[in-house]
Amino acid sequence: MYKEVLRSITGIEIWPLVSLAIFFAFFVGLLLWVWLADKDYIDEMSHLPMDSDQSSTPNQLNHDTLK
Amino acid sequence: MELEKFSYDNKIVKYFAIATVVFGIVGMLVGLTAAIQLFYPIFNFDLQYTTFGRIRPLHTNAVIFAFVGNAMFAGVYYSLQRLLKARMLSDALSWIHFWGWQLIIVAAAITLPLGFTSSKEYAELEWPIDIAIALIWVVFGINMIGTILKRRERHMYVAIWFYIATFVTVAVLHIFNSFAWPVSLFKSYSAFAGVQDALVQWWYGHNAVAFFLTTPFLGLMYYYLPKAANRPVYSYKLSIIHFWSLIFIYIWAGPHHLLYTSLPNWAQSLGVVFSIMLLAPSWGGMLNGLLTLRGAWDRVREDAVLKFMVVAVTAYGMSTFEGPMLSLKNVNAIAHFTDWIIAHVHIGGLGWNGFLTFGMLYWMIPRIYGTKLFSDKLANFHFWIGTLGIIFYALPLYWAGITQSLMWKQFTEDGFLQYPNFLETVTQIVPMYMLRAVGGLLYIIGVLVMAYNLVKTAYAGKLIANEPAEAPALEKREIVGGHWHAVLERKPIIFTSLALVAILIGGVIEFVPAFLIKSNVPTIASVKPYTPLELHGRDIYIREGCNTCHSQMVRPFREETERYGEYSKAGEFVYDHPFLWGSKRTGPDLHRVGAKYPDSWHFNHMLDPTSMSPGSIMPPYPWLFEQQVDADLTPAMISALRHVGVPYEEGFEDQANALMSKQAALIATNLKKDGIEIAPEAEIIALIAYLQRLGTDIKVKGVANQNVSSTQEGGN
Repeated sequence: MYKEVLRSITGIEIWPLVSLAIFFAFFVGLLLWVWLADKDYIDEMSHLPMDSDQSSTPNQLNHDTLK
Repeated sequence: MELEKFSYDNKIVKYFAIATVVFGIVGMLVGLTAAIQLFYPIFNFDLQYTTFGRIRPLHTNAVIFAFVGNAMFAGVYYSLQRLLKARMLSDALSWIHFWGWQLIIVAAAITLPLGFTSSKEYAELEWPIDIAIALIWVVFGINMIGTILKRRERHMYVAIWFYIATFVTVAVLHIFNSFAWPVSLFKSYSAFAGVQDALVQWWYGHNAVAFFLTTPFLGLMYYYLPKAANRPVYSYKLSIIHFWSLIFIYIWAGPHHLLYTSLPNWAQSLGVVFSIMLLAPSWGGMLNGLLTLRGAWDRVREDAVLKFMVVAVTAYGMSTFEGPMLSLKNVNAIAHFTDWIIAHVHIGGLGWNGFLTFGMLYWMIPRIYGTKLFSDKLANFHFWIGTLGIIFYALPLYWAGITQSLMWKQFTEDGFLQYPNFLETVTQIVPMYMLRAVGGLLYIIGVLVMAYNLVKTAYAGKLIANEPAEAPALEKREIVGGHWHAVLERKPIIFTSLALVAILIGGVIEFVPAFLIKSNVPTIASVKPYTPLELHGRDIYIREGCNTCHSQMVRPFREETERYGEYSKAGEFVYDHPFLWGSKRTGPDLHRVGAKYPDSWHFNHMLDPTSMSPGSIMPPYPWLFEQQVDADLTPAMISALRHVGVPYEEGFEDQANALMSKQAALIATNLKKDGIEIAPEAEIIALIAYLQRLGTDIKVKGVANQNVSSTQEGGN
């Protein structure tokens, strides 16, 4: 049944391809960016919640900066 | 650089926290009542306002929107101000948000027991309240985005992205799913029908879980877990990937709630594929949370806050593993419509939302009161009794779900159903329902202990209503360059728009074909709109929440067509505004119940279910025999339905009531033959008319009972 329904929509074949392309492009871009991201910047970002709190040790390293 | 002095608003946090605890207790007590009703039907109190069908939506709305909602707001208002080094945009907006939200909750607590419901799960509230929700939600959004715009911290921490995605997506979901045509002040008909209505509803339903129960709490996790552990999140890079992949993928997964239904197959497959993909970002996030505690596990032994958070994140991992598994069609065939699903959502609700909320409150309340927690011992007691409660809640229901499903599917050697009487499969699992209630009770005891502990803490300290803070103002100069994502984090409006685009793509690709189908759904010539009397009956069915326990969707399995009759076709639901497929079978499916029993059977059954089915756990509905159908409403019902596309002829509303009396008189005469006297205006007559109509349209030519071969085709 669903095949007839699908066939009757013009250009339906392109839908999955379009969605796949969008996903692929976005995630490749995202992964590349994360891979290349500046360490100091990442470190600064991950410490944002700690900054407002005096009790935290300022130079704690996390996984991103340990490498 | 000059330091600016300002203060954080803790008073609003306090109020949302109080609302969280109060409505948490109320919502859970209502849940416990519903749980008890399932093994002691006497606790329905023979009152229309307290039957399971009305209590269950009250429970779900209370715990989702009142308990979890207020917890989300408390957590967001505390963390957002500190992450942005700014007070909320406007105190007035904060208080409009607070009181507006509580008023909506009160309105829900009044209208749901009164039977004003749209029947759509987690979106039961009628249209005036829907509008109020939209307005208050926008107030929250303006307040949040306005605060982001006047921030003193250049970059937005990942928690804030989750808050933004929550705001944007819930707004879109709520507005789209609430499209309806009003009949009266507290009655409306969904703008969509049948298959499309189901698709929209579960796109909403699934993403309400995603963007009301998950993304805001992930934001809270990314703030409070590092705070409580006093160390930065394990990997900030992972959190970026977690965010974008989660919001991109979640929005597509809704159709996994409709596997093996009349929803077109391509949409079902789309839902399955994306649900499986969801496992990756979910577990990425879970591991990121747990690994944040590396090197701090010794503190988890002593610190109740961390204990709660560890179990919360673990529960998140468990339910996000279970979710994709349940989306596999072969697993779904067993689990759907059973208590397995109830167990699954409570791992998420009690474990993830509940425990993260408790951990957050234990950490936050002493801080805004400038003191220490009243009793660590009581907090630890709460942790253990709560954990025990979750186990006692979930395990019996997993057991019950699988047992019942296997009983439904069991055939004898001769090829007959082993348990042809649905009730047998219910009485089998009643002991499990009792154990579940014990689990719920344990969990509530823990919450009560927490309430006591927090109140004591508050009295020991003094609220720092306006906590002083200082930070340099954000320089106005334009910073050029940086990585594109870093640039993005400096531009909240663009960020918000991108998040919106991400979630809309999924929605559009799912809906556009589904709505194009409209003209192509294989129409069945014999399917006709409901008669006026049946419409009233259908409204009563909705009012009493019958769909809470009874599905109207016979799946194309041999054991279902044997038990219920011909499997359900998409074309049969074209006039169903809203659809009533249901999601749980506490009682049998009703799609083919029409013409199965005599009118008198339904009459006696609704008056006292145990008279027709000894041992039934269904409550009696005595008020249906005293209350009368509101005939004044008929014309408005007809014209509202015409507006949403049901082809009633012009002028039909004027003859509708005459037609209705005729059909009602027929049923009354029919009952009289069996020695039953009842006024034809009584509500029970309308309900019988509707039940007797159900699923009979395609029976007209006698296709119903020769379906074995066609069934197997449909199943493959």
